[in-house]
Amino acid sequence: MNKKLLGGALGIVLSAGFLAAHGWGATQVPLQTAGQGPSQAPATDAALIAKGKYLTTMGDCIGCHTADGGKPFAGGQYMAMPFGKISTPNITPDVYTGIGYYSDYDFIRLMRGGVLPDGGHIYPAMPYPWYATLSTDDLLAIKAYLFSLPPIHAPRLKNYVWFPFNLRPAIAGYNLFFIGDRFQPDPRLTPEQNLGSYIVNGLEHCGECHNHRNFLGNTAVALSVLGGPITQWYAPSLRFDPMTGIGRFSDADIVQFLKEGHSPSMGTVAGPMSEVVDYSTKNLSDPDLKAIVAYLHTLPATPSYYGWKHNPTNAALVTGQQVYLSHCASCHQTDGAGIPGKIPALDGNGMVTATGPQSVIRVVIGGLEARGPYALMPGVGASMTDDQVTAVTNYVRQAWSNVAPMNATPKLVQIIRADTHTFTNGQRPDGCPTLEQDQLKSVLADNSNGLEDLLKSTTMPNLLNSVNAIVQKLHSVAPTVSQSDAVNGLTIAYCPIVYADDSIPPDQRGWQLTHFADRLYTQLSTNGSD
Amino acid sequence: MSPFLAPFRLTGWLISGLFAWGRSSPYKAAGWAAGIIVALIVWGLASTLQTLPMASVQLGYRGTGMIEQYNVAASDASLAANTPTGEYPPVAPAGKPASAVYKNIQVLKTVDANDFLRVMAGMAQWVAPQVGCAYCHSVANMASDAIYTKEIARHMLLMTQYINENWRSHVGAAGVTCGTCHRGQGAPQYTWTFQLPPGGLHGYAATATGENLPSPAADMSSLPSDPYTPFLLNADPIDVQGSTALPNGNNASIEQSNWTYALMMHFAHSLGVGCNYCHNSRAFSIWDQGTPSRLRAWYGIEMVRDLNNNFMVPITNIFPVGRRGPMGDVPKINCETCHQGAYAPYYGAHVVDTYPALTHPTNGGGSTAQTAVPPPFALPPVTKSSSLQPATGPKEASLSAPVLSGTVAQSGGATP
Repeated sequence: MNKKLLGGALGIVLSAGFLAAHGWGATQVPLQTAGQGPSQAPATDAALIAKGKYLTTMGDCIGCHTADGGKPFAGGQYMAMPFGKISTPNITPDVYTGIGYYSDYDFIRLMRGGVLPDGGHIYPAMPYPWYATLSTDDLLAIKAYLFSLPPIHAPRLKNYVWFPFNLRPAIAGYNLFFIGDRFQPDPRLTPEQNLGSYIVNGLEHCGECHNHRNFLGNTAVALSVLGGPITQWYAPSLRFDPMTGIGRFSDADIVQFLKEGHSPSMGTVAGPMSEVVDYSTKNLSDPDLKAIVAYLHTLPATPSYYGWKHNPTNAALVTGQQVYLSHCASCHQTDGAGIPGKIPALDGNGMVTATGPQSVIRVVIGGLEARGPYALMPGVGASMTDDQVTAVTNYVRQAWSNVAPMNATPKLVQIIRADTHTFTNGQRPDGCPTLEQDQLKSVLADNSNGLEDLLKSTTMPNLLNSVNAIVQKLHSVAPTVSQSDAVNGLTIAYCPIVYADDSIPPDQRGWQLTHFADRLYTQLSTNGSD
Repeated sequence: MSPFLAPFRLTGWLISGLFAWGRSSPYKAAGWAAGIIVALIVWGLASTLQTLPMASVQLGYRGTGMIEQYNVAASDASLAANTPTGEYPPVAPAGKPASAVYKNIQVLKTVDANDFLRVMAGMAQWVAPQVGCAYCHSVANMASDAIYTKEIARHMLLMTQYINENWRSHVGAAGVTCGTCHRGQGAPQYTWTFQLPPGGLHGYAATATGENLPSPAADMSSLPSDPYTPFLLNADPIDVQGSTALPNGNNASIEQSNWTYALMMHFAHSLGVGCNYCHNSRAFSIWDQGTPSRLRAWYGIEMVRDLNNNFMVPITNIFPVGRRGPMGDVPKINCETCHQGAYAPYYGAHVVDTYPALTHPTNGGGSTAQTAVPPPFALPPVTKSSSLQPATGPKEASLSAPVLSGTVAQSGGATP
């Protein structure tokens, strides 16, 4: 990592020097719309705004430009970078703190070249190298949508970036190398595949996470969608290699995964991709999703690593198998096949067979929320040692038909553990999370229905009876709450109760919470029939 | 000086400097050398000492050396580690048996429905406190038998009830629960399986029985590596000592003695005691000169053999391959499985008192009580004049209370 950063620093400083000697500052992006002058976009054109809204969703702008619990598009989210953290700006049409004063030219220059109206450069944390491929019409539609939003006054938060990365003019040198060209349809591809290419390599910027990063932290020209690490997760390869990529999943399953966050052969989504699904791909039209898959099919099915099956009597794998049998096998089964529609399979799971082990470690330690028909996964790794998490991670990556490298280490587990705070692993420094689902929130706030008292009286010996009563009560007062919302929401509601329970030893309160979530899921999904 | 040779040169200079110093001031150098050697010896010896204080518990008549020594610090740690879990308070009865309320109940049929849930909660604490109910119950359907652990749990419940009903001669009133062996782990930490025979790779002097290698089974002594199979699974004779002053018909070999010795080392290690916890070292084999614990231990051997053959071996095929030993056999019981370094599991805590459901069969099939196993000798008439026993002889009555009840961590000499 140090080497990487040093190389990056050197590259940026060198290119800055090069540019200083040759009169930098000239815009490198020839704009088709240069000189168009102030905004002429018909902001009242409902069709244009609707198109802009769809494209904004496709670009997942809201994912970064909204702080946790903040107003949409008002910015304020900090993006962790290898060289500091950068706050996202307000992109509502507020004249003082937002983009209200941008002309069409300003907007397009920013989106394609990363250049602010005053000539300053923005950090490539904003994926403008990807957006450089977009057509002018699409960019103007996005602008029309953003300008139709109510202006919000939200000043930019301070950036924390280390020297020399805080020398913004140096970014011009970066741009010289990495900004893409305008999209040109490839005559060898079908119109559908070309549409997919425009989406994948443009607004959807899949490669921002799914590419290898080069030494400048850049992804736009690196090996396309072969997988890469991202904020201590690992985005798996999107090539159609059956062993290391997505080749074993049917097209319909991939489309369903992008639409709902889960599908029969792929299990559930986790990590940063779950936000992508919730904010972006969930709202895309079926033809667009199919086009994405059609385009991915055109890429060579290159393996992202060469699979190697280690000797199963290897001491590390034997230890991992014991941990697996004790903590994982009851749900994921001894053969790793899971339970169809309830527990995702680990055998051939894309996250498990990715080149990097980060995602597996994350999920083992932090667990997963319930999604669709799938169960909530407790953070079983929270009470394991680093060595146990390492062993079980390497085991599942090598067991059954998986042949992923055994590259988890206790040090990596330690780093990821320090950074993983979910409501199921009992390690949140800020206590229990707040409930965000409005419907369940109002149901729980209503004291007359007795749900709160039922939660408070739940203990281990009466767990089953109590959960059955809660399920019946919930069905009667709020029959429309979905199963996954009920599991996640009631678990969050039970969290402060169990963490204040003095009768349970402090280190076992997280366990009690997961037992509750677990029973809740079973009784909800079977209607308490057993 | 080349960088490659520098370390050698510098070391050479240091050594030749030391020799030069030794020649120029021999008394000073010899004094330093002697001082360093003495300091190393003192440090070496001192590092083997245990931290004081020690406590002793007298097990026989004073002056006979029948004493158990305990290191108080180690005992305190062991006492803290041997605290029973899953002790849930009794609940109001539901008035209905579990089989009338829940589906697919096969073992705990006649238990009250609410108490049944309490036993389930206890089992979750004892066996899988982290995974909880899902360790045995499928999240798809609580009643399904899809997960192998549920089937094993049924057998283990039957075994627990069988022990508490039929082997009071060993477990006494304290009884056993799942937690006695499992201690919060899906697979008990201390079990034994057949091991691959030690081959030439294990050392030049190793024999086919594993002798002349440190044997974990025999407390890292160089005794046979598997003292379990002959005695705790098969019923080979343990008693190899002659009972007459001169050789008279006892043809037990040294090899056989080593097997017995290995077993005894396993006992001592598992219970955290020395030989004279059970034996009088004046005459190891003579029953009425040992302590009552010896009879209890004898019942223990019989019990473990019974459980291994009648409960563990028959369920071998339910275990997945990963949970079996390297030779494909089921994990089996030995003394350490339950005792875990304490003379009585959980230092004699009465764990089964709050769980009456675990003390007798509850599957509606009637009692499994069997004829009591007779002791290995005719009980001698116990009188003070004819026996070295301090109080009562090896009678059933004395077995209900552990010899060392309560804490062993008292400092100073304890009295029996």
